Amino acid sequence: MVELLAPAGDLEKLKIAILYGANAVFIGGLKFSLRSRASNFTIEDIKEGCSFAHKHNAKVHVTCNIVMHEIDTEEILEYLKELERAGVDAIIASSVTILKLVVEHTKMAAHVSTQTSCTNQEAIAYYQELGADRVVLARELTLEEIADIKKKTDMELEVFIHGGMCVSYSGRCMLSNNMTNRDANRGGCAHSCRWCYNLYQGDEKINPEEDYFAVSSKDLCAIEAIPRLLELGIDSFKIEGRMKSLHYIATIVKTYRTLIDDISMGKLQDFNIYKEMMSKAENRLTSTGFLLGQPTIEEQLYDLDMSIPNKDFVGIVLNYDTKTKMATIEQRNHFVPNSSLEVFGPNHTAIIAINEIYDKDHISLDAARHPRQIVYFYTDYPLEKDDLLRLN
Amino acid sequence: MKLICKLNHWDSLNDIAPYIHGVLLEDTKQIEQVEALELIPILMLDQMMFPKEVEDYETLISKVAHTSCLFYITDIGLGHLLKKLGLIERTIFDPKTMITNHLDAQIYASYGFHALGISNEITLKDYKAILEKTGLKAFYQVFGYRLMFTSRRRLVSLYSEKIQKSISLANLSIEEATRLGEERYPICENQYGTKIYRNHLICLLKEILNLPMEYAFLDDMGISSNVFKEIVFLFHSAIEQKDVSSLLERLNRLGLPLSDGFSYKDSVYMKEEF
Repeated sequence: MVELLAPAGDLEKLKIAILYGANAVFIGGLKFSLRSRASNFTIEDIKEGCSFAHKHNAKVHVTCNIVMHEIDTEEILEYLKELERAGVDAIIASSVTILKLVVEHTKMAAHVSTQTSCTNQEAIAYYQELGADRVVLARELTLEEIADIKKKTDMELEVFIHGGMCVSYSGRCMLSNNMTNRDANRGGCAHSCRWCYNLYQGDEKINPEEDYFAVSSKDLCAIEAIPRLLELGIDSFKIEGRMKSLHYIATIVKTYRTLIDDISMGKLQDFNIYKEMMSKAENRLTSTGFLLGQPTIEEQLYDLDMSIPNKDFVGIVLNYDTKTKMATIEQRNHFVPNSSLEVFGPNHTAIIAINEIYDKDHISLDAARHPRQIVYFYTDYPLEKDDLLRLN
Repeated sequence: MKLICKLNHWDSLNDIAPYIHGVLLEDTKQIEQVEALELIPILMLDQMMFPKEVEDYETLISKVAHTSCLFYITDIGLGHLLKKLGLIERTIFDPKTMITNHLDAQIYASYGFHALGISNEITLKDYKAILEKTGLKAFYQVFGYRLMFTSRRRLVSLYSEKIQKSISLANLSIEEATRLGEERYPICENQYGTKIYRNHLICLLKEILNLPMEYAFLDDMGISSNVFKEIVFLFHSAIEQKDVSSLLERLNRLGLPLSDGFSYKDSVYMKEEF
C-alpha cells in the first residue's frame, strides 16, 4: 500500500496528520534541518511523536537536509543516534555524509532528499550503491519520466503530490542567498523566486508596466495524477508544507486519504469532488506542475497576490460530553453564536447549528474572539476529540 | 594550477590560447580544435539528465571517449554513467551548491572523480579547509558571473506567451522591482531551461595564488572579448607570480562591476529560534 506522507511542524500537527489519514509524517529536528522557521521538534517531542505514530501504525521521518558548511559538521553521528533512540524510522538527507552515517551506524532508513534533484535512474543507482533505502524524486519529472525510472530501479521512490514548488532545481537555488544573504540550502530561504521582477533587454525594460516578470510557480496539486502514480507502484506520496496550519494539513491529508482509498476500493469519484474538499483549506493557486508535461503559462504564478487566505477554520474539539451534550472547543478564528458550522473529523463530516457560546464560567459570549480561547456550546451532534470546525 | 575558460567569443580562442590550459566546450566538434592548440578540452555536460536521455548521453560520451577530453558534469547520475563507462577518472563533478564541507567532499572524491567543483556559497576560509583536509583536486570559478539559479522551466518563453509579445533570448536581465534597487541579474534560456546569474562578477585575482586548486575557471559571459583577453592575461600573470599590485591596478582600470560573493562573508544560517 502506498504511504501517504504528511508534513508536521509541531506535535499537534503530527497527531492531526496521522489521525486524518497519513501513514507517515516528516518533521524537522533542532539540528541539520531546512525550514528553520517551522517550529522544529526537540528530542523529547520527537520521542512523543514517534510513540504516538507507532501506536497508530504510522512512521516518523526526520529531515536532516541542510547542506552542511564546515561549522555544521560536528556531532552529526551523536545526533543521529539520539534520533534513533527516540524511535525515528527514517532520516531524509541530501548530504552523502549523513546518508552514509545513517546506513552504516543506525537501523533507521536513509531517504535521499529532493534537494539532490534526482531526475534519472543513474542518479538513483548512485544513491542505491551508497546504501540509501529511498529516493525522493525531483519535482521536475513528468509522470511518464517517473514511469521510465520506476521500470529501471527497484529502489523505493517517493513523489511529491501536493504543496509548494521550488521553481529552480531543488538544492541548486542561490537566489535567496545572493539577494538577501539568507541561505536557502541551510534553511533561510527568503523566497526570492516569489518577488516581482522587471525584465530588460539591454537597457530597455520590456515588461508592461505593473505586469511583472515572475519566476514563481503555482503550488502542486496532483489529484488527477494519483490514479497513474498508484498504478506505477510509487512507494510514497509526499505532501509539502511543514509550516502550514493544522487545518490545512488535516484538510489536504484527508482529501488524499479519501482519494487513495476510493481508488483502491474501485470507487473513484469525479476529481472535482476531491478538489472541492481541498478548497476549504488555505491553498495558494495550484497546478499539476511537471506531472502532466512541461509546464505552460497555466502552471506559472504571475499574479503574486493571488494566494487564497482562509479564515473559515474556527476551532478544534477538545472534548464532547455525551451526557450534557456540551462541546469544549479551542478557538482558532473568530466565530459567533447562532452560526452554522461544518464538523470535519477523521472519519465523519456534518453540518451543525450552534446557538449560545459560553466561556469557562458559563457566561454567554457575543463572539469567540480570542486566539486559543477555550469556549463551550451545546450540540446534539456527537462530536469527537480532534474534530475540526469551520464556518459552513 | 590550470586556467580553464568558457568562451562565448569563440573567435578569441587563438589569442588567449598561450595563456590558458583548457577550454570548457559545449560542442564535441570543438574538441579537435582545442587539442590542436595543445589545450585540455573539457566537454560540458552540465544539464540535468532525464530518463529518456540516458542512452543519448551514453552514445555521445562513447563517441568522444577516444579523445583527450575531460567531462564536466553537475548531475550525479551522469557521474554514475561515466563510472560505468570507465571514464570516472576523466570527470569533473560540480554539483554547484552541494560540496560545502570536507566530509561530503571526501565521499565524492572516493568515488573516483578526477576533480570536484566546490560550492561558491562558502567562504574562502571554508574552501581552504576542505582542500587542506582532503587534498582533492578542485575546480573553482575565479572570474565571471556566477550561476545562482537553474530551472527546467523556460521562463522567458512562458512569460513571452503570457504577455503575448515576442522576446529575443539575447542580452536579457532581470531587476527586482520593489526591494533591491537597480541591480541587474543576467538571465539566459535555452532548450534545457533557464539560468539566472549574479549581478556582479566574481574576480579572485588577488587571492588566486593562495587558493589551492587544480582548475581555476574563468567565464566570459557578458564580457567583451577584448576585456576578457585582458582578464585572462592578468590571471595568467598572477599564477606566474608577477607583482599582483600592478595587476590589480590594471584590473581596476577596466571598471568592471566586481563583488567578493561569499568569499569573506558567510550567509545567514537561520536557526531554530524562528
